[in-house]
Amino acid sequence: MSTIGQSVRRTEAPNKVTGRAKYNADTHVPGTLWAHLAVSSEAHAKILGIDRDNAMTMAGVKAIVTGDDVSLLCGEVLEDRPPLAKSKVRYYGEPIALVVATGEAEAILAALAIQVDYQKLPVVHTPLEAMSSDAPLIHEDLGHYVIAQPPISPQPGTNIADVVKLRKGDMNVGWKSSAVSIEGNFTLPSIDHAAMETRSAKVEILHDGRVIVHTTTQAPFEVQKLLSQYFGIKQGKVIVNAPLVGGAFGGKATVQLEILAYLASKAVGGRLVQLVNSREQDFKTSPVGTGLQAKIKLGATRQGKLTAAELTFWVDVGAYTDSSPRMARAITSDCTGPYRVDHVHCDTYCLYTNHTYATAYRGFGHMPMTFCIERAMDKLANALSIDPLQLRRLNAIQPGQTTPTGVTLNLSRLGNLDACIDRMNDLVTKPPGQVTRVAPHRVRATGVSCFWKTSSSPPDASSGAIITFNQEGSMNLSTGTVEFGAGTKTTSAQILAERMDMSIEDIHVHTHINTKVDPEHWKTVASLSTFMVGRAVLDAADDAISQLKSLAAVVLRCAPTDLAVGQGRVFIKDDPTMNVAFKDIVHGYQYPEGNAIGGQVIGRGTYIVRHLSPLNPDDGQGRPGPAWTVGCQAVEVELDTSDGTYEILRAMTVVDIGRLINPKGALGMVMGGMCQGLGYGSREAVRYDALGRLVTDQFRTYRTMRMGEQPNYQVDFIETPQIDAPYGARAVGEHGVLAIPSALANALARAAGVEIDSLPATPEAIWRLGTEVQA
Amino acid sequence: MIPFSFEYHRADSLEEAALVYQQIQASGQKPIYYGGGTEILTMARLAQIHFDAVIDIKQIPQCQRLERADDAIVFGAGVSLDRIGQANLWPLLSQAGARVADHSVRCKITLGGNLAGTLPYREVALPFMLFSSDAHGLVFGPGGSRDVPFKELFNGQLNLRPGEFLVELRVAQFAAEVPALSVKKTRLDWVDYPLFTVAMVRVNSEIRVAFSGVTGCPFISDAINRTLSAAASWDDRAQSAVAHISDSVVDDLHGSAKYRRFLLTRTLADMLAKIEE
Repeated sequence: MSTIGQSVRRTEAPNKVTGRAKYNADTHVPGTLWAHLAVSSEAHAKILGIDRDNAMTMAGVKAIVTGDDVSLLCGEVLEDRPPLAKSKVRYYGEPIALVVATGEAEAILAALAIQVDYQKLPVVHTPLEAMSSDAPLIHEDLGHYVIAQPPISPQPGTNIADVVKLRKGDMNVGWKSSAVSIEGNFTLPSIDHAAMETRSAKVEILHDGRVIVHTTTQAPFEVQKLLSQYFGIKQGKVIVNAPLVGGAFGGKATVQLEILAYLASKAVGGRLVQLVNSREQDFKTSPVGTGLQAKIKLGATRQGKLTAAELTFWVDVGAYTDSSPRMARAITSDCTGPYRVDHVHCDTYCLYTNHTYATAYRGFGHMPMTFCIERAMDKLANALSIDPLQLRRLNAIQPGQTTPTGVTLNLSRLGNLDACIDRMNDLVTKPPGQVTRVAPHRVRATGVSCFWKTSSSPPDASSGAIITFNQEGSMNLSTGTVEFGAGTKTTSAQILAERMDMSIEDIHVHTHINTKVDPEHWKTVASLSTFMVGRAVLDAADDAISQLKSLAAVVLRCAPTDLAVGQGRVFIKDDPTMNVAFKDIVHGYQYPEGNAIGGQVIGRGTYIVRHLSPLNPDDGQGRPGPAWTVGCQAVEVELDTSDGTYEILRAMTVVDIGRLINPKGALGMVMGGMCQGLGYGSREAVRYDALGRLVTDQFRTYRTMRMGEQPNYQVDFIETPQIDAPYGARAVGEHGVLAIPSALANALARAAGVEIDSLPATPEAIWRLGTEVQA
Repeated sequence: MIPFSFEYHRADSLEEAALVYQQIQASGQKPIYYGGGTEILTMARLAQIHFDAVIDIKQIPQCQRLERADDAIVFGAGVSLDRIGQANLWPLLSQAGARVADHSVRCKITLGGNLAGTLPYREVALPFMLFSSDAHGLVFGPGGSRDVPFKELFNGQLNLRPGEFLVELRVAQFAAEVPALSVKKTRLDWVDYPLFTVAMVRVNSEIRVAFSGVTGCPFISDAINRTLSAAASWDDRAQSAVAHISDSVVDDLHGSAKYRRFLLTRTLADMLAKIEE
């Protein structure tokens, strides 16, 4: 029986639900030293002095490292970030000193005893403030930083870390052919990944030069590469272990604590040191998800056909760039949303502010980008008096048309957005433009939004898979993806089971990653695992099958082409009764008299993305990803118009998933994303006070959706295969989150009769907008 | 983790608690009384408070009373908010307590802890403030026990002498028999810090209201109560009442002062409508 399309239980689920699964900070080796960070209490200040004398004399303290002891700048794209602040601090919570002590308590107390003398500098609070010509300069040395991974265009003497330009068509033609235009300004806050497991890293430097790392990461191979590069260690000497990760959402794709834990270990002669973020430090010291400001102008014909889009995004990268320049390109690539627009002008700026620095967050910039474009689409629907779903259907991008970056789409690359919208039209039951009064002060409305996303991975991202066999004939599968709840291990097991035509019970997946033995997968990000790892697994399976057939051909005295595999056997196609079991050949075949031939079967497989190209710096043309995933989402609310309070009744998603490999797995993934999107839309925000100090450093103040606040979720799938993907399955890991915040805002805006162009859409915000409308 | 060491003492009697407190203090160390521990532990984790010893008083039998006695209802300071809700001897107190924190935490937070904590809300004070002439507290300390009218015991925060702790609160039985309401408003979530909590009772034609979260600490105002008891429409009375709250309305992460005023006016009008139905 085929396992594709079956709801298979996640391989790691039994241990997770019984509490037996071990995360990075759950295991403790006796003799481990503890590191703890002293962090900045200012958002922007010169460091005049750091007094560690008192702290050094405290019980259990082994070493204290500060920025003065380290000569290093880090950054995935631009090397602009000292691991420990040097001469100045650029955000509240920035690491200043690293204490290493015999125990956690000793390290915490010593970190508290470190005194820092600051000279305060004016604070940059928003990306638009950062753009201003008289804004305080956050990086005086911007012109001297090393570019680690082009492209990036820093503008020395400003706070502009990067600018991305996209030009498609001719704006004059676009505006001339439009009859109606609308404009919107949008402001979205930074958000936190808020994973259940806080980040942690353990590092030991052995006397033979090996560096052993255990860390909470989505990118173990990136950790290996960067530690090797930053500290001049041969890559083979850096061994990174990535156990199960307790939620990541992009926030563990960055490399931060690993560098600090290495410095800590080095300061104590290479002893094993562990650095574990408290919840507060996970909020304020480690990176957040990006906020942005945007201005969008859309033009359309009287009938509602889009003719022109002019977009500017000002991305709040915070104090350091990290992956933001790549994210800015991802935003730019898909800036129009999944609509045909022939004339597009988009500028995306990455701006330094004195906020916590940003990194990837589920959707890689697409959630805030989608919010802006989808709010703009609703404004256009209002201006044209067209039903919002119809307007989207009218403009939905089609095979044969081109994306903003000039990629010509076909059905395999794009999927079927029309089908998603039509299915959503059935689900919403009432036209989304309609507001229904259910009580004197209570109205119901539905908001809709569409999304699309491609991967924006590097053009040389690659993946590998290795299959070994146990003597009983069952298989071990080793890949480079980290399991953080997305079910990638289970999906790859299903893909292997399908190709081998055997039970998934006989596939044993290597859950923990060790960079020394597991084949590299670029990073477990960008919803690419099923595609890239799946392709590598199929390649490895084919390799193993060919070896099995070669050996079985000898045993069964036939040509390999006469053979097929299935149910743990190699058999002759036209007479399956003539067969040999895997267990008799996977570790070599032994003749009755004792001679043996063959040897172990080891399958190897690889995949490298093809035909991708970076965006051209002049016009943004290029191919950012192998394929897109499209979908349509809706949220139904009931609003109390007198005070802005509301209830989220229903949230709906229709997504073209290509091919459903694990239906319940996909359902959980999409619903989880929808919940996260509702949190972002309604309550989540990283907030700073007037001095730029982060004030939401606990779940008391950083609000997420709680159990009991979930609406009714409806998820439906369209299946338009992506031909080059394993069994046609499209990327879906991030997508559930993308258009939910805008769908919520569209619903609330209709219900309240106001323009909700910033988030979170709290009752107070809706009330305030309502009072402004009345005034 | 809590980065410093401290002693844990469990007192089995009022006298033992006060004695241990004095002994620790005499040795130059800092003791604190301990109830549910939710605030002490979370603040200690962040080194926001320091102490050398905690004296757990919640198991002392007098702190565990939860019963009707004569014409009064007695609430031991060591009883958890969850138990107060389960027993429901005074529905108004149950209601006010039921919206503090979340269920897991309410199984720990005690009546005394909610009043003595550093968070300004102290919601369980509201019902007692509405009956301050008919409510009393028993405190115990180095000088023995004292019976204190609630009005003197609590004016936004507990007034205790050094070394004293709250043993119990009592309220006249009739307090549980008048129409009463407690309403909490939050930014959005059901479980969150309050924008405000309002407790209201109607004693014959007299309306009494106590507020938490509106200004710094819980308060009650004769002027506001007179306004709310006057003959006028619900909306007019609510508006006049909120106009009495001058300039110190809280403006914070959870909500602006302006929104609080708006929502408070509306909430008071709704509550009046309900209680006078």
